[in-house]
Amino acid sequence: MIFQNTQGDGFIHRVNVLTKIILSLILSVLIVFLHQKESLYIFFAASFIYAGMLKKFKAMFVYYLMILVMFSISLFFSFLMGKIMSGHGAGNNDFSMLVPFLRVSVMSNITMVIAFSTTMDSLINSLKYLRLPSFIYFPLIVIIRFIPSFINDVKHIRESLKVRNISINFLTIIIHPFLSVRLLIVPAVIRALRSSDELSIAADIKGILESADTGRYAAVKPKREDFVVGVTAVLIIAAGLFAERGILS
Amino acid sequence: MIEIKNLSYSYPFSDTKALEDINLEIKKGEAVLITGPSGCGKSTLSRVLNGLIPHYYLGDLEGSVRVNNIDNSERQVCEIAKDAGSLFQDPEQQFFTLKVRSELSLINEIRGDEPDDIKAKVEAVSEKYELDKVLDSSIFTLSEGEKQKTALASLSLSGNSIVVLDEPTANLDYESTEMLASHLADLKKEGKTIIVVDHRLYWLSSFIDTVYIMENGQIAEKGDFSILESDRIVGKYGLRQLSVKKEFGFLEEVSSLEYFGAVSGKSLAVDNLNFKYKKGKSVFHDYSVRIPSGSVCAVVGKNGAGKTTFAKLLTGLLKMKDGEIVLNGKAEKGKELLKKSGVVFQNTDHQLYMKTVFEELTAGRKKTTEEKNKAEMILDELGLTDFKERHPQSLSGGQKQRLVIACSLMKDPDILILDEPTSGLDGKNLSIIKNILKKEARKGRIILIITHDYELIQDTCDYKIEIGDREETT
Amino acid sequence: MNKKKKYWESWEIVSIGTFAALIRISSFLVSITGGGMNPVAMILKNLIATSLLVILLYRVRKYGVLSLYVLINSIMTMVMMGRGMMIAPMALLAGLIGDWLIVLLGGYRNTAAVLIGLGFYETAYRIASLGLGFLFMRENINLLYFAVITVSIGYTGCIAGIFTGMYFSKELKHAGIIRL
Repeated sequence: MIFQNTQGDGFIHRVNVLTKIILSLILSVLIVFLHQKESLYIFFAASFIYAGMLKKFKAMFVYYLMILVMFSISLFFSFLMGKIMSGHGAGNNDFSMLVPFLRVSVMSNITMVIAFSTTMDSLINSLKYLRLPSFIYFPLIVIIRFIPSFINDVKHIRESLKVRNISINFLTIIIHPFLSVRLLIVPAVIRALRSSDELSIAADIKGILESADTGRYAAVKPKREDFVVGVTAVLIIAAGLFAERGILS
Repeated sequence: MIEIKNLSYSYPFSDTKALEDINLEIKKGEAVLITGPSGCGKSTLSRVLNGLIPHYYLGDLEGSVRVNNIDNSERQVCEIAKDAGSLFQDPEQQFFTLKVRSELSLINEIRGDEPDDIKAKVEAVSEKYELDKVLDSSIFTLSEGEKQKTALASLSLSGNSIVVLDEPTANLDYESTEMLASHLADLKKEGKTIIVVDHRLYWLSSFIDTVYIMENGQIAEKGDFSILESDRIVGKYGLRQLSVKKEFGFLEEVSSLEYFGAVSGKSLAVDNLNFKYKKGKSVFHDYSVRIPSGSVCAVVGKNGAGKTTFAKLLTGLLKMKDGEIVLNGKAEKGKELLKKSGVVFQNTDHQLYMKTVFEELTAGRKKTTEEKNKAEMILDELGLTDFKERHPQSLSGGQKQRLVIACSLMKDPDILILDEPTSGLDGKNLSIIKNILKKEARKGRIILIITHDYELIQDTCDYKIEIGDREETT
Repeated sequence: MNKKKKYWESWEIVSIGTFAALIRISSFLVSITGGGMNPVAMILKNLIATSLLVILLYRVRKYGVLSLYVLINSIMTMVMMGRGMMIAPMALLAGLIGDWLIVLLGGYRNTAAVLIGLGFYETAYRIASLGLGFLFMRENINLLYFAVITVSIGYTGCIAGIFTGMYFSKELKHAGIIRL
């Protein structure tokens, strides 16, 4: 997921990243207020299908496994604290467990789509379309540029440490915390400082920030897929809200 | 043209002047070399020319610098750059995008050219610089020569009349250096003004008109290229050599040596080495070689031939698929091999961690008196005692290079491998490194140097290992 | 040729981008090498991230640096990890107040001001995370115990990181590495 730089060509991949982000923002607010089983089921089902369109079932499985593990640990602590505090475990009905689980799952489905179908490149192209100020998209360009370099740097640093018979692991961190932190931080910072110096010189020389119109070449505009997703989302949200209200009234 | 009058400059928080009373005039179409020992002010002068001083590097600047009749103080760096383009030692650090094509189109995109025009320009320039094959490659997969060509192509797209190059050959092999020289000669024929700042001199004779030698921030000598032939001048300013041997015929191929030959039966033997990267082609196939201890051996071969991979296999950093490494008569593997070997990588940034030079040597080692004495002794041998309490990052390039060598000597290694230990070093620092390596070899170590620095090879190495034309795919 | 000077200079923007990338990668690597959920890795991850952030604040001493970092980091986290969507607006607000506090208390050259401003941001960010956790799990509040424990462990690393960051900033300034 992280550092991925391939983009698929399915329907979901053609949806603009901004559409996905807007959808995710709307849902993140909405989901907090929903607390009825029926409405949450609707959103869960819809978001599950939405994520399923990625066709990354193995990744989805891992995602859900992670959520389950987190919930299990949380339950364990909840049980433990309940025991300590009141002498008995947390006695909750099934539904009080289900609501948080559904909320987390809906958000995971939605954000999973962003993570697996978006490259930083496509994000930047979309941001260009919005004509966002250069101070927002320029750092993102720098990030894309540096992530592979830094991964390489980290490899070199690890090799250099190995050559000097120094290793950083759980044990050394416990025994020599200060030395470990130093070994992790100092060379990385030196590389970052040097790289940012050189790149900003190149930026000055090329006049990248002076240009007001960096966005012409590859800007991406909304497409049919964005409207399809948008309209479907509105319908599902309406249905969800109806379910929530229907139960309230 | 460029006109500099009464120029003096000092960096922020520095009492000494980096440039002092510089006066020079460079005519249109002239090719100029600025050289001199490390710290003489030549890079500072190039920063003044392209306007990085005073726009990027602050500090006190007196006098005037005019590029194409406009004072640099009146223009921003990017406007000066439209007249005077710059090329640096490590072009990768200056690339903004991850692909050659997008890097080449960037400058025209910024200027707001039409997409079709940009495409046509990029294709034309890539043909001229023979980049067509790598046009859609990632910048990380390019060889150093290709990176430099990409930077030069990008520069030529911006249509400057002046090209300033700061140590452009430090990372290049002989062929790429020759190629760069020929491109620069072409640019000169097109009427462009070329300004090269470099330690390496052998590649410049064909197109340089005027040479400026700097010392202590001032121009100490000026003349045509022939002034560099004077032994007095080379000696006085610690310059590098004017000619190097292109072939290594003078070095004996190690494989011709008898097993356990040369020095007192001690040697490193590699038998039937096999190695390939995951998803990559085979780098070594049944490769065998013997290297006697007490010698300095050059590891040569084209970029990507597998020289660094070879070093990592010899020291146990990489695991070989098959084969045997016998060190001083004993077959060694992985961790044992790593214990007995020292590697000095090219980039010192990755290898320095501590707060003082002394702590750097003793880091991760037992804090015994014996270890401390050993560190003191090594610092003394490498001429670093005076910097013992200094922060490693505050040292000069040459001093840092010696420090990383010192760190690897703390292990008292049987094998010492150095990857490009002299790139970017001046003649004086180069000869310091040469002496250290010869001395360490005399102690019975096996020293391997991976390098493109022909001056280092011809004066230091006893043998060579030629790593073949294999593709190294990571 | 006098153009209006932009608020952000290129080296400042490049620094923010570089450090955002570096912080993301170090956190990621510590997580995968340290096993993710163990307390030592959690402390270390936060300690390193905050130390690097302090160094960034020492390097780019301009109002808005913390907020811009938070904004860029939120976008990056969202796209790369698919996380942090809901917390982003609150993080940004915390960043803006943090920046404002630093300026109010004496600016980015003032150690105490940076300490308080950054401390505020990190604290507010974590409270916001827990608040969000509460909203999600309000039907079964006991589930929050675990979140409180992990956030607290991370927070410890983060507060320690402010001090280690200051220590390294001073060291790098002494070595002549940090500009200004």
